[in-house]
Parts: sequence; C-alpha cells; structure tokens
Amino acid sequence: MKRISRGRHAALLLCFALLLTLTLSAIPVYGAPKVPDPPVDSWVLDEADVISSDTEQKINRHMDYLNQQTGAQIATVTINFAGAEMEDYAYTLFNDWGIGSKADNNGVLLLYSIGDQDYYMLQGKGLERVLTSGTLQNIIDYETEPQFAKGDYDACAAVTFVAVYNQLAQHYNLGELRSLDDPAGAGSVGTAPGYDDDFDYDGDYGYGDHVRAGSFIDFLPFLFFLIVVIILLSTVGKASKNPRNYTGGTRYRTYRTYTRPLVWHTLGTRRLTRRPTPTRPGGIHHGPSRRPAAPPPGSFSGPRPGGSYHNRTGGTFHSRPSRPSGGSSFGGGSSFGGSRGGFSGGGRSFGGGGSRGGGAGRGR
Amino acid sequence: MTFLKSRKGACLVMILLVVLALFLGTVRSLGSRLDKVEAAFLNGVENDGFSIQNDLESRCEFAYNLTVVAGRYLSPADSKDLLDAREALEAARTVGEKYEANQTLEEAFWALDSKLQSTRLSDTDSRLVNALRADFRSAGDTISHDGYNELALEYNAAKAKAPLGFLAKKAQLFQ
Repeated sequence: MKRISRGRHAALLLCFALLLTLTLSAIPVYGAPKVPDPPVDSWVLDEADVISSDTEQKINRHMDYLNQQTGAQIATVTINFAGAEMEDYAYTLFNDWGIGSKADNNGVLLLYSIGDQDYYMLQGKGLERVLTSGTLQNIIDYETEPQFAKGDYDACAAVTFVAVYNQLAQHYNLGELRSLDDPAGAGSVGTAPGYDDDFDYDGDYGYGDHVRAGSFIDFLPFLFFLIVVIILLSTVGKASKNPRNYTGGTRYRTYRTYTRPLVWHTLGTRRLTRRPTPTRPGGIHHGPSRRPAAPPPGSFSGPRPGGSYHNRTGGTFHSRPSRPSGGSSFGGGSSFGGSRGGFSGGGRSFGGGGSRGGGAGRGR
Repeated sequence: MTFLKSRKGACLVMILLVVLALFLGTVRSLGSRLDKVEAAFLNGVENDGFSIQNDLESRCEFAYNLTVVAGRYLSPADSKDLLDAREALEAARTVGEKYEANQTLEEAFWALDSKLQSTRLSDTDSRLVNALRADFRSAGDTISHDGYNELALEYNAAKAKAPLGFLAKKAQLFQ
C-alpha cells in the first residue's frame, strides 16, 4: 500500500479539522424569543385586540407630545401569548424595536400578554435610576393589577400609561395628566403620586481599589526572546572551515567566519570580507531585524484577581440559576440600538434606545 | 556549543523557538482578553458605569433596606444571614468570590422575604417590600443580560482552545 507522505497527511488532517469547524459552527443556537414587528404610525401595538381605538388615539396623542418634547417613548403592547418568560420577551422586544432615543435610552415598554394573564414593564437603560423597578412595581400594585385582575384591559392600559407618563413628566418637568382625557401638553407641573420612596440606608460602600500589580513575569517572555535571539545569532552565519571551498557563483559562495565580538553584530556593524557580500532578499541585513518591543504599560501578570470566569453555570454571571432558555441568558436578545427600530410613518418611530433588562411584572 | 552548530542543534533551537512563540502569543493574547473582560465587569461593556459591579452594589443596598424593614417585625437573628451575606459580597475581591457571595445574598434575601410575607405588614411597609423585591430581582436580571457574560464565554473558549494554554494554566498565569 502506498504510504501517504507526511505533508499529505498533515494536509488531510487540516482539511478534516476545517470541515469539523465549519460543521460545528453551522449548528443553530437557541436564541431570543420571536417578537412582532413594531407598529406603523402608532405607539400602540394591540395584537390581542383589547384596547379600544379611542384609548389608542389618546395614548398616541400624549406620546407624540412627550416624544417631541423629550425624546422619551412609551410603547404599549398587547399580545396573546409570549411563548417565553415575560422578562426575556420584554427584553428582546424592547431592544429589537429600540424604544426610546438612542442617545438617552429613555424608553418604557408596557407589555400585556392576555393569554398568559401576565404583564411586564421594562425601562430603558437611561431611566433605571429615574423609573426604578421598585417604582414600576408600585405602579403595578396600585394601578395595573386592580384593572387587569378584573379583566378590564383597556382601562388597565390607560391608567398604567398615565401613571408611567406622569413619572416621566415629573422627571422632564412637563405637565402631568389626571387622565387620558386631558389634552396633550396640558396639566400642571407637580409631584407625581408617591411611587418613589427614599430609603434610609447606609450608602457608603467602600469597595476599595482594584489594584493590580505587574511583576517580573511580565518581562519573562521578552527575556526569553532576547536569549533565543542571542543564541541564534551566535550560531547563524558560521562559515565552513575552508573558506575557499565554494561551488561557484556568488549564490553558493561561502565566506570567512566573522571574528568580531557578537555585540558588534547587534549594533549593526557592517561585515568585512574579502569577497563581495552576497545580497539576500530584502537587502543587506545588519544585526537583528527587530528590536524587542517595550513591555506594555500597566500590564498585569501573575495570579490575577478574578481571572477567567468559569463556574458551574457555564462561565456566565447569573444572579439566579439559569433558566431553561425562553431566550438567551447571556447578554442575549438583540443588539442595543434596535435592529428594527425606525419604522417610519407619520413621525411615530422608535428611536433606537436600549434596555439592560430588569423591570417589573405580575408573576414575579 | 558544538551541539548548537550541528543539524540536530539547529532543529532543537527551531522547535524551542516555535514553542516559545506559541507560548508567548498565548500569554499575550489571553492577557489582553482578560483585561477587557475584567474592565467590562467593573465598568460595563461600554465603559459607562452600567456594570455587574454596579448591579451588585445596588443589590447590597436593597438587601440592607430589606433588613431595615424586617427589623420592625422580626428579630435581629432573622436578618443576620442577609447582613452577613451582604458583608461578604462587599468584601469579595475576585469575580469568582463575588459570584459566590451574590448567590448567598440571593438565597438570604428570599429567605428573609418569605418570612416577611408571612408577617402582617403595614401598607407602607408592604409597598416598600414589594418595591425592594422588584428592584432586587431586576438587578439580577440586568446582571444575567450583561454583555460581560458573552465576553467571559468567549474568553473561556479562547483559553480552552489556545495552543499551549495548558502551560499558562499550569503556571497559574490566568485564573
């Protein structure tokens, strides 16, 4: 049997490895839940058909005003079934649509899943400290839940919208609404109902500095490199013992061993020989072709605090055990900025804002 | 030095060079990735302060507030576990320690919360506890969505695949 040469063997192995890599990379990964497209020319998507057209118009009117004045956006969405955990669904939808302005991330999503008998509210990254999850929870407890539990979803959407609107209005110093029936831009500037509470807490947490010291190990790689270069230089270019032994032609000519100390080589001193110096590709070389690079500033070595994060749940930081994924649990969902945000139509389009998740919901 | 002049010596030097280059490349590459991952943990993927570290600090805050409310209805012993867990999280230095401490904090928080649920609270306190519950859980959600997780996964995958990465691991250069 003909023996396969080593080179061919290596080539076959490489092809196999490449094929394996391509195959594995083609395996689909379970991703985020499927969410609907953003509405056209409306701030309300009523898939479950539980919001009256009158309520929708009023919400749109107030939203137009809020968006125009502040860039903030409140999306009201009703669906039949989420098919996933509400938090995952809300997170995906929020970032997919890009609710809120891109610069301020000041969007809010009010999501009602009628078939699941569940709802969820999620604020944008820029509103986390203005409209905290605790505040949303209070709105849920006092406004949303009473109506939702009765099955009056239209009233639920209306009062919830007003409550959230007023929180934003307070933040942006706009007039607050008493109800949806108020004309847009009307209302007096005042304090919203006490959904926020100031806690008396010890806010002084001294976490200390995360000091990372470099050490000698940082320089070890370069020291090794230097040593090897020196060894190489001392072995390269040694001539044969008989300088006259050449096969003819400049190309094959050997020349006398250079007897000057090694250090002169590294300084790039020209080599002196009786024969013309053969030209190597790239010109005449003087000394080492590269200088060792300076060690990077502030580089860290040695046992690092933290280091690679590898834990039981597969290397990610979860505050609770991994859920069977109804959506990606690793920074998942869509990219911030809204991959489908910007559906235009009558000036009502989402601005590309993002959310980090969180929020508050019924089943929590 | 005679050995180095020989063919075998030259081969040996070449092999050593290749191994060294691989090792150095691995060390440098993993090192820079690790810096990026750690920075994301502390300062956020976009370096805007919205980070896991920030969320952990918030969780400590919420946990403390819960013990304040619980102190009005339950004995100090009931809040001790949560207070200890909070202290442990504040004292944690490495990512691994913070992870473990956060898990302990999570358990202690919900344990205290369940005790409060079986207690009759005033309207105000009931509202406060509901809000704290939502805030605490919300911070956990943002942690699980944080971009740090993807970076950590990528880093772990890179470390597993890195040529001679096992040497770096043996030398405990990357933990």
